[in-house]
Amino acid sequence: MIVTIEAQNQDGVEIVIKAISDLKTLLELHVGGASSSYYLP
Amino acid sequence: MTVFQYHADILRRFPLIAGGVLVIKGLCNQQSSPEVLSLFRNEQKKKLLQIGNTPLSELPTLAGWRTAFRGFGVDPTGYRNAAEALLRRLTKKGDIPSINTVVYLCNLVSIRYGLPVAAIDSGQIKGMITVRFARGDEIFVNLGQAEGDHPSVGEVIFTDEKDTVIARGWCWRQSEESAA
Repeated sequence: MIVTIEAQNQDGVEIVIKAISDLKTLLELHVGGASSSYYLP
Repeated sequence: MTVFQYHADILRRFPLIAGGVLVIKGLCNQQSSPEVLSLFRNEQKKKLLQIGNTPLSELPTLAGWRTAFRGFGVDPTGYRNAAEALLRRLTKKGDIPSINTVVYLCNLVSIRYGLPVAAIDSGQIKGMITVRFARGDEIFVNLGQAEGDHPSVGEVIFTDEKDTVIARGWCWRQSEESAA
């Protein structure tokens, strides 16, 4: 599965990093699997 | 492994775009446990308190998306980005329905940060996902529908390497076959 989280505002990079971190933790805890992440652009 | 990218034209037109990508293998998605349901309900309550009487259009993350939508010719009050649609549902109805654990958790993070979250079944797409401007001849099948239609020329879409449209209106609607 691929999950994307995107922002279009000034503080977007910081918020996206936090959001990906939270979601990674929640998914690993509740649905398992192995995940990796990266950021764009 | 890179599985998602922005076309150079998108980066030029939308310089504020920031994207995070999570690639998950071997997960076990199922109906939500009482624990996940409780987490989601608590997040909804916290968000409602946090928003109070603030118009959704004034939340910085949603305002940024509204500006981006206007940037490719879409009225953001007629076509709401996925995060705004969830928060609108929450503030109007008091609850957001979900279908499985992955969707619950994606929606939880989406309302927490006011950002659109797309969960894509990688088994249903071919190769790299690219965010680009539509030519208008691509085919999109909306969630819950059997018949496809075409995005508008210049609309921002997610496509795979077969040119299948995964999402229309950037983060407005996701396709039937790609939804997790």
